[in-house]
Amino acid sequence: MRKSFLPSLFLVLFWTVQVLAQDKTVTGKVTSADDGSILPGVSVTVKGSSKGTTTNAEGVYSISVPGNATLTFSFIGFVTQQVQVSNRSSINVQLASDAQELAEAIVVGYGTTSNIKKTGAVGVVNSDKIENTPFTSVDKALQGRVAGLQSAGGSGQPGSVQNIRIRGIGSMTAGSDPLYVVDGIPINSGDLTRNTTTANALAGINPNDIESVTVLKDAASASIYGSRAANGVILINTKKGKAGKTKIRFDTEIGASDIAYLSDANRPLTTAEWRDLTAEGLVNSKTAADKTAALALVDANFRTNNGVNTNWLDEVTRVGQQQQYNLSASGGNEKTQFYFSGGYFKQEGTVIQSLFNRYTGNLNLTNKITDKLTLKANLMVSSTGQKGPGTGGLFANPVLTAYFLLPSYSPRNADGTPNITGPDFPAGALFNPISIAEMDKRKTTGVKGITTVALEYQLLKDLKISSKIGIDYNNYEEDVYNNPFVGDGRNDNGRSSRLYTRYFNWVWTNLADYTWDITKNDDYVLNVIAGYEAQKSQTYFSNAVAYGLPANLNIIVPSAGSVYNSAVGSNSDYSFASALAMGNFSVKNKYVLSGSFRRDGSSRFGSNNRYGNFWSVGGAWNIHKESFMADLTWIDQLKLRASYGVNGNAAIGDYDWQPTYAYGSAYNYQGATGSGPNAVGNINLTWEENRPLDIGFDATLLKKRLNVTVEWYKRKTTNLLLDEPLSRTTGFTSFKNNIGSLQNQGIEIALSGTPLILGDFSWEASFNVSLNRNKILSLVNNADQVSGAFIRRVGEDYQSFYVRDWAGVDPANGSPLWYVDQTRTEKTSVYNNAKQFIVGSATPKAFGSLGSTFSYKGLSLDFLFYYNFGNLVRDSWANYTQSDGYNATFNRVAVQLQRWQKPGDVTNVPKYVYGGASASNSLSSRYLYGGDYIRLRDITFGYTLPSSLISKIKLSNVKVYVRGSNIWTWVKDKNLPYDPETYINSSTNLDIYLPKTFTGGLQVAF
Amino acid sequence: MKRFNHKVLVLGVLITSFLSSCKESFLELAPYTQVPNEAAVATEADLLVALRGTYAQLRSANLFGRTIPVIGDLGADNVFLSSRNSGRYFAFDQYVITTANADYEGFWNNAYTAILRANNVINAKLADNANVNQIKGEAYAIRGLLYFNLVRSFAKSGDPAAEGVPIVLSYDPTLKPKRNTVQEVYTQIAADLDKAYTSMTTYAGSARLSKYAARALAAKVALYQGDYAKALTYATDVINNSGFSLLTSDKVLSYWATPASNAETVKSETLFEVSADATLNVGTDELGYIYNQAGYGDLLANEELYKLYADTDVRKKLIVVGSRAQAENPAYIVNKYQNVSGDRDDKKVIRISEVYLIAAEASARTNNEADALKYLNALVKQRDASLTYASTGAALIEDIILERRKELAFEGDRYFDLNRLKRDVVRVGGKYSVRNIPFTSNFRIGPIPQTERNANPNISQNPGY
Repeated sequence: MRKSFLPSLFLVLFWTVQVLAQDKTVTGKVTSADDGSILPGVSVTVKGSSKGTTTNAEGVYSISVPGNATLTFSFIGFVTQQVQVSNRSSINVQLASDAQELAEAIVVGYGTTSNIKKTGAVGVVNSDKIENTPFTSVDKALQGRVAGLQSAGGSGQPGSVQNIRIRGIGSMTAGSDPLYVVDGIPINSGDLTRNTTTANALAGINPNDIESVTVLKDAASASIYGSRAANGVILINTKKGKAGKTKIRFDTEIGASDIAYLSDANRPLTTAEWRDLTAEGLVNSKTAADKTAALALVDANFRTNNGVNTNWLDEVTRVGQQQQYNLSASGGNEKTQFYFSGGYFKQEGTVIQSLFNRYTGNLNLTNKITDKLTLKANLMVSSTGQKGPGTGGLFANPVLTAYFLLPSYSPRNADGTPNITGPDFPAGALFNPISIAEMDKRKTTGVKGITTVALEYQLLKDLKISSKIGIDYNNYEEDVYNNPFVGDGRNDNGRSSRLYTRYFNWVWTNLADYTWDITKNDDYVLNVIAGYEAQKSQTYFSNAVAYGLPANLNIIVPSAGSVYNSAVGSNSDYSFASALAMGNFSVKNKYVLSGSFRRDGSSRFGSNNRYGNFWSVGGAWNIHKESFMADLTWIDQLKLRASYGVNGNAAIGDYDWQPTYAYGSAYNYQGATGSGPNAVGNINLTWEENRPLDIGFDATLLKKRLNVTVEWYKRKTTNLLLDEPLSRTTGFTSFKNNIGSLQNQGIEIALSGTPLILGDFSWEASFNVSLNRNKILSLVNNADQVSGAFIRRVGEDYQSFYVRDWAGVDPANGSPLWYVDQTRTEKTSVYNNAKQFIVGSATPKAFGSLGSTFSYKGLSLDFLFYYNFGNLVRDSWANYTQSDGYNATFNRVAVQLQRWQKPGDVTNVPKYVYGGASASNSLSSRYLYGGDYIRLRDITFGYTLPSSLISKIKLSNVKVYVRGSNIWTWVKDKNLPYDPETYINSSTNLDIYLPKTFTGGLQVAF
Repeated sequence: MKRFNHKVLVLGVLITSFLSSCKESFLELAPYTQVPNEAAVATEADLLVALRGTYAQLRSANLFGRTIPVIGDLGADNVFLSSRNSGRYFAFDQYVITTANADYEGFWNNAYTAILRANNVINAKLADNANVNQIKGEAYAIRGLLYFNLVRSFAKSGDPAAEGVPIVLSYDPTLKPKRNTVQEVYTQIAADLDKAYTSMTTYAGSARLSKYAARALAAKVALYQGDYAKALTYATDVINNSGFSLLTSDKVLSYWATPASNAETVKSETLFEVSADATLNVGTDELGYIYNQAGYGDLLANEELYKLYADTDVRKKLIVVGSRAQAENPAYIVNKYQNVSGDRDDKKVIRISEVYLIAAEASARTNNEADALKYLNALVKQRDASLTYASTGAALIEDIILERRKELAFEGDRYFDLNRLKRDVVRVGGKYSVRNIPFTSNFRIGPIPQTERNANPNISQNPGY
């Protein structure tokens, strides 16, 4: 290659020198129209001849031309410009950056597409929506940004996992999360830790390093990912260097986070309130003869008369600090481009001892080794640290103690040390959260690396082959220390556990990309990409747990323990081998036909069903290109498209299909090895199959002032992996089988545009709404499956709440009432006489966002409202916090004060009886709340300093801003106890409160 | 056109090479802690490993680890749930038992899981020799023990023709069996325990089943069947021939304080117990954790039980009079299980003390009151030196039942004993909300779990559920 290239270069040079004498010389400087920076390496050629040169390091060129020549200036990333020389001998040129062209290139699976060529349903979120947010991972930043994508997080723990569902819930027992692909590498995502309350592998990626996120929603766009595409695919494309002057950019922000939403109805009671309520309960339970005797009893047992009134909620929550710094450099020339960045992020949660920090480094290089051979390399490394308490019913959960501990207990002793003994905190009772926060430790450290190396070779003018190796690496070190004095470690004289987990995932992709412009005028163009891919992910883990630690809070590692508890180590692997092909044929850019095919084999599939074929077909009609549309000048683009295909969900256990005997601690006896049959297995076990149909239209109207996209889709998922129950007498309760099916059907509407431009003032607005209907089509023997508060029933939504329906309180005697059945005509005070039925769903009927950006000169105001309607939210712990007296020694919340007290009282809260006498706190619709809410997800006010001012100090961009996230929330149901935003199942679990965050930031570039 | 052909050729070669490069072995990944079924029980060494896995299942909190002994006391009148409790076993205190009861469901499921493991050991295709016979003998004993516990919990006592539980003797995942009769189940239990008795030759410590542990269980089974002659024969066989010594009064407290099982050199008191040690235990689901005030401490002794022990009775010290924080004061705290951390208390399944009580009752019921008193007083002398029984007739039987209650309290015997005797549960003392549960109550036996009935249409439900 090199051999043939060099002589021709000499030839060109020789020829250039030879003609020099005959023509005149033109010189000049080429700069960027955007920021005035000089552009080295710009190609300057004489139109119609093969003469040419490039600009030097100062952006200066010199070329000899005939008098009437036209010069062509071209450079990667900029709009090519042609200039008539006329009689000039000096021509300075400003090149405009090719933002339009770049924006049109949409990164999709294994390539790019454009608005003209695309046949599928694709959503794109660009870096400006992802950068400098207080969200710890990019999936959180996607909320409200893409129609059809539900992003829900139920924990305010910084670094927590986020639930992403694209076009509804597509699976019951296998994963419902989309496939994440970073720069072409399918990565391990979700919560990869084993002993951390909640963690998110994506939190290891600095959102400021992301150029764009593409969401693939339908068959035409996603099926190329085969057996892993059923729940949609999210492509994360990191920033790349651009040729031109090296740009340095520094971003920083600091801020604070506080609890986003607290309900007055769910306020823990004060000592006086609880004392009075409990005394009333003692009278009602006939434990005390009258109120006076009851008060004395309460005081004697719970010390409610010693002046202590602790607000445990205040004790465990705080205003968290937040900061981030990002520095990047990008630049290069025609041959080599680079992007480099470093970042630091730190966020404290709203609850004590909750923290996340991240250090990131990123290096991206592209080098044209020769004209035909290009090397691309990317290395992204991060280290994350996370601290956070346990959740749910753990005694060490500070949020639990905030609601359960009596206000008459003191958090601290007189000397300031945490109160850990005495009558308030005896052994076996709830822990003092202050002592746990100060004396226990929970820390998770993660290292993440994503690296790719690719070679691309232009074999022929229209045939490119490439080979890419990618590595996705994660490891987690999870340390938990429970002190010997109080809490979980007390009975064991302290506990220390250390868990190590490593994921090593490699992907090797080989592709050929062939473009055939049949008539050589762009009228009939065929593009085919074909290749194969191999992937193997290996998990390695070990645990060391020791008990019996020294009575010294600084000695916390397992090595210091005296009682060996457990040593566990194992691995888990999966592999995929795939052949793939995708093609796209366009006719005069009016009609586009696309197709894809992928054959996937996986170690996760049973030996009888190891390979599957996945495919799609798509078509698009660019109506605006038709001649009959020429007169309709108000239509800039109008496109109709449709796609259909098959893809799969391979998010099943690595070894689920194998019938096996297992070894391990569950089988060991008396310290010696044991074994036992652990899985029935199913050699036919295979992927879940998804068949999405999508019809959409895109329109750009009124001189690009309005963009409209409307999509209708229906996806049917069959072969759902379900546990088929076995007679327990076989020794097993169930085995996994591909039996169920469900369907998601919906409409997505996205509008965006610029309603108003008045001089320097502009208003950009966006709106989207997603309506999805989920329906179960078949189950094991089509029998109902009741799972906690949910029922899986054919014909119903997957997340249907199936409970007894609360009918309020009998005004005559304060008894709880439930409706006897679905007709809601008859009430009963006997819980077991009420039938369970479906009262609603945990899935919202509609969600979406409404946003706007107002700009005036350097000022900008940007906001985004997120809304969510039509779901019910369950308070899983209300049977304690609103128990009407059951578990009487725990605190209650304010709504309990509305209890029935005397005949005639009309209220929704039953009579308060110490110890609980009725089933009033049993699971019913009483503890389900309307989940409708609107939230100001983001509001940013920014000011970009005028370039005239900053260019004097050699800066190209300076922006200051203040941003608020989640700062305003409206909920329809004022009794909703906790934040309306929850995980997908709309069930609260005493998680760390979601934060509202205020930040102030500065961006400087030069 | 020529150029086109060239391209097609190149593309064709590339695609063909891509497609042919996937190797089958790349997709064949084996798990790291599991082996295929057929490889699991292939050698004698494997057989022992599989036997340990069978024992390990008995440790489950749904079996001897907690549920069986808790039902055995809470279901009757020995213990009650403290007003401050963790919400466990509420149904047995209140006698509100449904087909969804998680404790009975866990009991059922885990028992059959253990039976599967025992079946796989018993059915292993290995040539007979002393070692193989010993291992299989232990598996037979485990299977007999489990069917005994199933049939006495899920079927009404005293009616051999009534529906018992399904007998499953080999692995078949498609099985949907009917219930066998109580008589058929007892016949199977007797066959298993006899096979165990004849197969075993060695004693490997009290945490493993042995020849005489199997015989002691067979004696108890015979007592439940009302076959008192057989019960007596078996019990005296154990007393006379096993070499196991009765726990003496000076050792009672240290016996209950010690969490470890006996080594193979020690033949004292415990014929069989399920081991729980510092690492292999069920943590906060341990039996001790629900009794001990350093754990949940939910279960408190009935003061009327406490009063049954004379001050001179060493067993009185196994109940400590104290208070339960934020709840009962005084509280009668069970002190049989003292080890809620480190090495946990093993769960006694059959002790020679009980064999003496079986011998006593079997003698009394076969009109040999002298022997009955001999066995009864031999035990009682080692508990309360000042007590000697001399009763006769029905009073003697009552004394033996009383001594069973006192000796085996908190070990899960009382409730099943009352079922065996077809007596009402009459709860005197304690904080019970339901005090009288007649023998005729449907709730005196567990329901066939709804989940089993959903998966197995051939199985019938017990009356009243």
